[in-house]
Amino acid sequence: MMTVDMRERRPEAQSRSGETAGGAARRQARERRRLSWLTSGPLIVVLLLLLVFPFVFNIWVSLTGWQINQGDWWKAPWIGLDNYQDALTDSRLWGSLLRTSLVTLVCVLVEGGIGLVLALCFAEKFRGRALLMGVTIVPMMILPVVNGFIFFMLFQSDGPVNDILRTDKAWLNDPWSALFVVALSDIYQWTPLMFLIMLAGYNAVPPNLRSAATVLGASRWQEFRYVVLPLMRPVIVIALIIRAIEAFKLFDPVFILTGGGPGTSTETISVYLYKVAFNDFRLGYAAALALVVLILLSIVGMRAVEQVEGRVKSQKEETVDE
Amino acid sequence: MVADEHNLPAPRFTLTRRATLKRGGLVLGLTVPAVSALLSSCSDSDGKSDPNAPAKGEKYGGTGVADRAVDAAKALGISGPLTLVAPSGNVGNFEPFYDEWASRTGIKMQSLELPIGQFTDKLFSSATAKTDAWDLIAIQPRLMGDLIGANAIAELTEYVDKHQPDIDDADHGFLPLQREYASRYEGKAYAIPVDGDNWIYAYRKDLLDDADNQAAFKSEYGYDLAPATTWAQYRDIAEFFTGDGVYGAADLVSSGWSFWFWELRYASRAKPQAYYFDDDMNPLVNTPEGIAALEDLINLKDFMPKDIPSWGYTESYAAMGKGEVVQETAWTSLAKYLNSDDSAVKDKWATAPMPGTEIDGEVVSRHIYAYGGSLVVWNYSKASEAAYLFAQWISSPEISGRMTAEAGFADPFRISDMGSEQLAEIYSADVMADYIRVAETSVPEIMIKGSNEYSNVLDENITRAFAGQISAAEAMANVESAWNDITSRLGRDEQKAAWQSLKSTYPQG
Repeated sequence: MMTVDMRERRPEAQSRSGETAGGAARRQARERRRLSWLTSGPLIVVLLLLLVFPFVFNIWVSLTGWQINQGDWWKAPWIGLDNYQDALTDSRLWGSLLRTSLVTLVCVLVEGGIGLVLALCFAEKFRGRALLMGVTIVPMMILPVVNGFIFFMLFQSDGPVNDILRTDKAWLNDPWSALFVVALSDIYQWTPLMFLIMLAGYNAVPPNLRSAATVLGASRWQEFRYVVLPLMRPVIVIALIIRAIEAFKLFDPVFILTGGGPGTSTETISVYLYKVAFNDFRLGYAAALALVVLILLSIVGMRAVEQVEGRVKSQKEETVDE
Repeated sequence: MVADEHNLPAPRFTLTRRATLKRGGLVLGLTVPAVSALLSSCSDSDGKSDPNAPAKGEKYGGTGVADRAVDAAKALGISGPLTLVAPSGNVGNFEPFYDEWASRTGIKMQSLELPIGQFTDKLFSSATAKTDAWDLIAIQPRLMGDLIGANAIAELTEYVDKHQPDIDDADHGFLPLQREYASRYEGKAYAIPVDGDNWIYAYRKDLLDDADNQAAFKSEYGYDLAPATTWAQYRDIAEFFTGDGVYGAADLVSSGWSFWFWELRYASRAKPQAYYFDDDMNPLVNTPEGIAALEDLINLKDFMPKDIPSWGYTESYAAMGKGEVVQETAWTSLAKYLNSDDSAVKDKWATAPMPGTEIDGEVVSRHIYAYGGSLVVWNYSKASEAAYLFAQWISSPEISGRMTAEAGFADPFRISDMGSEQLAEIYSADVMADYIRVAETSVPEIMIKGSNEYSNVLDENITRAFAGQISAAEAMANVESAWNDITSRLGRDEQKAAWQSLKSTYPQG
């Protein structure tokens, strides 16, 4: 069948002012572009100032030997990649990275697990639910510094925990038990956040799917395993990623509980960076370390996001196929 | 009775947001002026509330240091307010004197208190930003080199020459420690000392004098129980008394504190002095002396409270004050605390010269000057001379005694205060009687540029060794290596000059 492209034949309509329709469209497009630049331009400038400039400045500083106690940053000696070379062989950097990763992994998994269980417990309405929910999320509202201090007091050798356990263990003097207390304080504080996200995720699961599973004879476990969990997976993964990124920046409880000690045995990456920058005043080196950590975190974060996107996509495709 | 809402009288107040705000505003509007009036009638803007202060219009007299500061400040014709920034707990040393200063000069003062853990970061980040948010800072003098390097504090030579704070006066000048370490850097005036911070050795006199304890100690250790004269004896006494909830010592080994306690032990390890560096800035800590000083500290592990690796000075003071600790080495303010009403050992303790090390048949005993306190003028202050004058006034012989006696935790720092009966009562007569000798035998901590970094490395390795993660020898080897790196980074020649200047201020002999 022959097709005719009407666009080729249709003469351009002329406006009263003599402007063709195409010309008007182009003019409108230009105006739209101008308007969008006018409205978003200031925001772009602000973003450039707030994000790009500090980032570029950080890169520049990382290539210098700037120390605050040596004078102004623009007088700092240019040392190229020396800071990065030093970072590669800095055992404290890698030690603190490893320690932070371990604490992050433990905290996020435990917080996610408890958060999910709590979400399931609070999924159905029951008497006193609102009150209990309020109590459950209180730790999240405590200032991290205060939370750290609470755990510092709890785990003193003559503190309440030892009273209950009938021991005189000095929890904060041993690297492993000190890390345990650090992790515990983080879990105490941030499990409520995971709980809230999980609860929102659970509530987003269409009730008719769960009803259908029940009608088809699925047990509560099967309903959870094969209906709820797959649908909640993107939310769970996002919650874990967000929490992992936050937990990786763990600072306050470590600073309050141990100061990174004994020695450097509980030092997390944030505490180490803080010490390099503000105790030793080595801002050039701290900038390089921060960039190394940023790159590593970005790689891990992007991989995780890719995984989530892949899963969501395949889930959608499965749904369409069905 | 069940209330019938229709029969109830109309409420006098309705609880609405608007009504609450209106009433709140009214109450606030009436209360604030009333309270202000009450406070102003109670407070004494003439500075007469303190019986030791002369009435307004009268001169302080005395050495003239305070009057010179007041007259010069009045002549500036400014009203302030000047901002003094200090780590938490320190503003109490200064605030009680703000009204008196304001009433005499017309210059108001205000404080900004920063958490002690964030104090240095805030100072240095503000130096980078060149903010003029404050005028005076109460610092640890060891930070002077770093602050000068960061262009954060002003040189005071011009003001010192012009206003004469009598730093070196033989009768009422600053104590040798404060004069040498806490006011000058490489010979130039940068700071005005406002806190003594000599170190003392305090012990439980009642326990050491007890006849049963003396007999038991002698049979166990083979010598008489008495205040320790060597670090080995200090350990023996600690071991002897530890048990049943009592600990033999509470010397700090936590992050941020441990390096001072190592420095104290290291100071007595050589004659005439145990220096941190040689003349070429090669560290002298990875030596038998440096390692032994660390071992002295580690050897106390079993005789100190279990939480000692996370304690600061407040916990160790409190432990001795509660009678849980038999002996401590600490700042002079420990004496003030043990004599206070909070202490359960008020009349049961005494001091003795610092334990030392036996070298060639002679016991070398050294005190150290550490932490301390000086006022420095912020380089970006818009009223630097007025700020300096406040520092001169509050540290003057006319105010210094009152400051140490009446306010905060500052310790005596002027020679003229040594005979003060009031201070003898607060600190104990024997502490004050020994104060000059202590000041003359005290050696400084590392007070050159990079002090923080040198001390941090030392601190980290001491705490690791104390936790048993590395040996004392490994710790000192790590310190030596790291100190060499720091010196190279900061510039060996510049560091050599600063070290030579500090070294020249060590007491001789």
